[in-house]
Amino acid sequence: MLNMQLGLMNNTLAMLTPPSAIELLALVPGIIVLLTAMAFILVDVFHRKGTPRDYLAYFSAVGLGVAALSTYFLWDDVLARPLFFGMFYFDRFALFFSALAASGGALAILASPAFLRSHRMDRGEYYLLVLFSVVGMIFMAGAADLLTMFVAFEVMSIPLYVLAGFLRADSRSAEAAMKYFVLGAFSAALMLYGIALIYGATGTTNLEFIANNLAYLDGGDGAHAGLALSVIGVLLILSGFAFKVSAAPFHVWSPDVYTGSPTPAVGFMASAVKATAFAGMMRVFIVAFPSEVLRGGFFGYGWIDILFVLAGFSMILGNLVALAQNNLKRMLAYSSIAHAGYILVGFIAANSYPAFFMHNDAILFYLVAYSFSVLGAFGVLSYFGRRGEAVETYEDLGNLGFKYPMMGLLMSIFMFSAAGVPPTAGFLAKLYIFSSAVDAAQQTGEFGFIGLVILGVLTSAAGVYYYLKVLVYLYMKPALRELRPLDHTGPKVAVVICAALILYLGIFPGRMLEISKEAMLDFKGAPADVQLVIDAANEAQEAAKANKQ
Amino acid sequence: MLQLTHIFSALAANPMLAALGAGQGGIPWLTLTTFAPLLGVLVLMLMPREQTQALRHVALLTSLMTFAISLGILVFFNPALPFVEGQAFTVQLNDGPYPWIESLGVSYYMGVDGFNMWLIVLTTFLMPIAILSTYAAVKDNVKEYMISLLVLQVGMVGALASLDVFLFYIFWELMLIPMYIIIGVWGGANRVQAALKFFIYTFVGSILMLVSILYIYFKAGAQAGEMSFLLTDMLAVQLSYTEQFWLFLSFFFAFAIKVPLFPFHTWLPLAHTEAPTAGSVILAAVMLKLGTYGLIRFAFPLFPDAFKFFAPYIAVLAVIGIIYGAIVSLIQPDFKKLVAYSSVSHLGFCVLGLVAMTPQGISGGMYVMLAHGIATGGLFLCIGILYERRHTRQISEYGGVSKVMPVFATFFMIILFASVGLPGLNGFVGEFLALMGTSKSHFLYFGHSPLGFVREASEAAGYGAFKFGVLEGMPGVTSGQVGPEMTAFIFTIFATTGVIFAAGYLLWMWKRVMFGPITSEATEKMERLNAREITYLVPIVLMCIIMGVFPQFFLSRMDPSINQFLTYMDANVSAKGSVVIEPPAPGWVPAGNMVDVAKAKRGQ
Repeated sequence: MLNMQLGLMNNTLAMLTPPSAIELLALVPGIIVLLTAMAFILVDVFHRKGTPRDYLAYFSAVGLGVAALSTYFLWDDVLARPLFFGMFYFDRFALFFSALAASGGALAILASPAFLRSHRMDRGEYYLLVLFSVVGMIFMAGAADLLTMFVAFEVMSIPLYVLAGFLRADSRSAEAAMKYFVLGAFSAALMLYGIALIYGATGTTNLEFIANNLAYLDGGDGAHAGLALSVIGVLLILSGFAFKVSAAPFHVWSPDVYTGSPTPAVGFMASAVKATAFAGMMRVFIVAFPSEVLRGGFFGYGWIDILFVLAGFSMILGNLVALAQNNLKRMLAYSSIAHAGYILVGFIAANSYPAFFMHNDAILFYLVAYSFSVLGAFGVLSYFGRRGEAVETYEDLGNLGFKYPMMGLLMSIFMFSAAGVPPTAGFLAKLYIFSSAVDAAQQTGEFGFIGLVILGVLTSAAGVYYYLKVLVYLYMKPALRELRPLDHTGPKVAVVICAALILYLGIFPGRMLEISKEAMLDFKGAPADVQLVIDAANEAQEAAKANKQ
Repeated sequence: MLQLTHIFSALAANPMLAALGAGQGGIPWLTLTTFAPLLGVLVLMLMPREQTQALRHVALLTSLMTFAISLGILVFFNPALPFVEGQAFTVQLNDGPYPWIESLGVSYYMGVDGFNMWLIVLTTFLMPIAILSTYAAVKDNVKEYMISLLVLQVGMVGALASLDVFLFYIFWELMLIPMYIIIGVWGGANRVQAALKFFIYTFVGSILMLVSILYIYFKAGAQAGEMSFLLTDMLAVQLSYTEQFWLFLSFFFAFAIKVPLFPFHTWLPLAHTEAPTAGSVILAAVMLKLGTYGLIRFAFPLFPDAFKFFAPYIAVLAVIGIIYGAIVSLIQPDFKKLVAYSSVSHLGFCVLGLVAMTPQGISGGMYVMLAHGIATGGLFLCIGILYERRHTRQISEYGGVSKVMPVFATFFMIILFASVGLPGLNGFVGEFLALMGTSKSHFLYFGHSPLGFVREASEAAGYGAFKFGVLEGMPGVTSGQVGPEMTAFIFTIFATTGVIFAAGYLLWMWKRVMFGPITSEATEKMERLNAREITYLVPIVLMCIIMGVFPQFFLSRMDPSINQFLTYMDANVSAKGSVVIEPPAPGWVPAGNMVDVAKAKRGQ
């Protein structure tokens, strides 16, 4: 209790202290991206009509790259207290996701120019939208208040709706935008309603205060009426996040949106958006809604049990429906639903009990591995994305592996990584996620975790089938028609970077595991019992370091 | 042989060679052997894809170089090392353990003992042969084909050599990818389905094993206070019987699918028939062995009590596999399928020998692995030679081939007899030992066996000393006195029929293909063996004979490891006295590695 009050005092202090100059450091990655966007607008005005906008693409990719790189220099400058009147955290967790979002954006942009030109949509707005979306992501990762979180969430989402419909001559793209926008707006509304309910129940939108007030609502003489209100609020917020990470049954938008949207933008949606949505979810649910406080509120279950169902459902539905797809982008859409399921397994294992909090680093590693493999896969599809000749179905891939050996090899690496076959990063990520669940099962003796793991590995074995089908067509089936790839340096560079990272992380994952662990060790705003676990882990880390020297 | 020894001892005295054998921590033989093919892969990647002949040569040279390096393992392997107390294995020539992923406790650790040493050498020995056999058969995409073969070799040798379970798993899965591509791209008409089935079967099995590995990892980590994937650390884990039961099952499924044991074998005939010749050779000769190797290296010692419970059931599956494989072979019209089913049958002997937990059984099982690798590899090569000439695998299409290709007929006959198990050739030694070991076993009974063979305390050792009788309630019966169980005898009797069937289906196939009138014009036009084909058949035939005539050379280098393994199993199985331990006779095991032995001989 004392701990909790101390933490609260700390937070209250933060909310009352005017921001100091050092707090501006927290904005550096965001501001870099924002400045890039501003400069982009200025330069784009003077762009000569009819000439390619490649240099603008490279410019924005470099800006995003610099933003990602800046997190490296900020890694040791993190601050303990929430900043800007308790609105924003500046911790390594936020930096980690800023870097991931920025590099995801950069790689997606790299894959874009030739694709857009071939679709006669070589417009500067495309890159601008990606940049603005990344700004939203960067602020989402550090949000310490439901309002900051929601604003960041919308800054991230609205450009995506436009991006989905960017190929305006293409009716499927328009359909994608419409679906994405209507459903997205609906889920955002639900989320906002949830925030309102939480505010009504607890009287605050600050994440840490919410946790504190919920504990008061829960404790004492019988459950407070406000608790029921907040339970509904939690459910609504959860559904908002589940929509963005496309966990079943909130996934229905994703296959159509993935199919219709411009291919490089889909890579961005599937990687950076999903990662950031998970970051926001982790922050909100770990900080504001400690699982033991609300456990029992949902007809005797906690939100963690709801996630159990979502995870199982996503893994089964994603993998099984993907088996039946013939369109590659649809297949990847369903596979991304399955991946959301795997990540949820890690989330459940790490957050069911405070003791397993450190297992959250598995999610971070998984998101990195997954992001690069999906960016790479969509990068390859963008490379073969010439208008009217695009690779869309499995049949279109026929014999491409031998005709374009490099692209075939890279696509195989991405598929093996997504399937979780060593020595790729995807294997290690899956192993790490499942191992956290196995550990939780072993320490608590609850069968649910191990059941989830077994479900996960069995469904991922089913998943191997459709990933291998890509290889079947790449190498084992004849070509149906001639394809002219978009011979452009951008996508080549992007996919080579992705593949190199996947192999590097698969064979030498040590450094990345450390980084994700450091990010979780520096997670700010955790409730007192979780904070104890973090402190213990920090001490163990220090001790190990001292031991080594 | 005498001449050879002289030459060898002269070589051994060479200071250069002595320096190579600086011993452990000297030359990382295993790492070199494992990763040497990658050098070839690199060269192949840089070469233009049109120069097919040069690509083939590079691949062949790489595999020959790898074989030469792997001979270092053979030469510097010292079978006479003392036991490491309380451990299941004494490893040597080890590289590592070096930390690899420190935060997870994963290390890079490779080493050999009597179990994997021969299998590694077998792999490197067969690889040049397999590559040479594809010179004419594979004409498209030679570059990718050779790269796949070499990567496959990395996976296989790595999986055999690694002593860190994580590392093993990485190699184990790595091996799947090139094999999948080899079958799927260069295979026969039904290749895509075969490749997918192969991959998914193996993947499903091994991914459940992965969950079990994680379970043991956390359990062992919690018990020891340190997280580690090293096999030695995992072996130290204490598991309850229920845990052992389920964990053993998942390990068993993974390896039984790979072996393949009877109900899990359905992927094998398809994969074999569709794979190109080199793929079939490698698949049969080495990849299947990884299943049996995995059983004895991981599944048995990790879960001794669960293994004790399952052993008779596994033996039942093995015996069914022996007979079923043989009977199905008899009626196959397609000779690749025939050989594939014969593999199911032969590996049944191997598994039966391994689960018997007697020194003869295990060394027989190990020998079957080697002999089957050589002989079945050879059979697939012979079939490949026929197929290249006629482009059909139907036995009925042939007839009278021996008149057209007499030299080929001779080679084929020797290899075929090796596979049948004719005394004097390698197949016999393994199967005989495996059957003998099984007949002696008292590991293979369901629950409690009331009947069995008991020796009077006064009787001398020896087979005939055992009398059949009631085991229950016999006063003063010690483990040395209790002989084979009734069930073990029954297993042996049924398994032995498999040998007869083997003679049946192989010789009948041989008769239909080789003898009789020449039925078609195409057969008449078949070309004789060319120099390249003779080059790769000669080593196979030589090995068939050498392994049949000098089995001591091979067995004596496995026996100390087998003895230690059995000692470990005996100490860890709750049912005491069910494991038969017989230390190798003095003088049977060479006193040191080959260089030492040769030096000692020269000193005399």
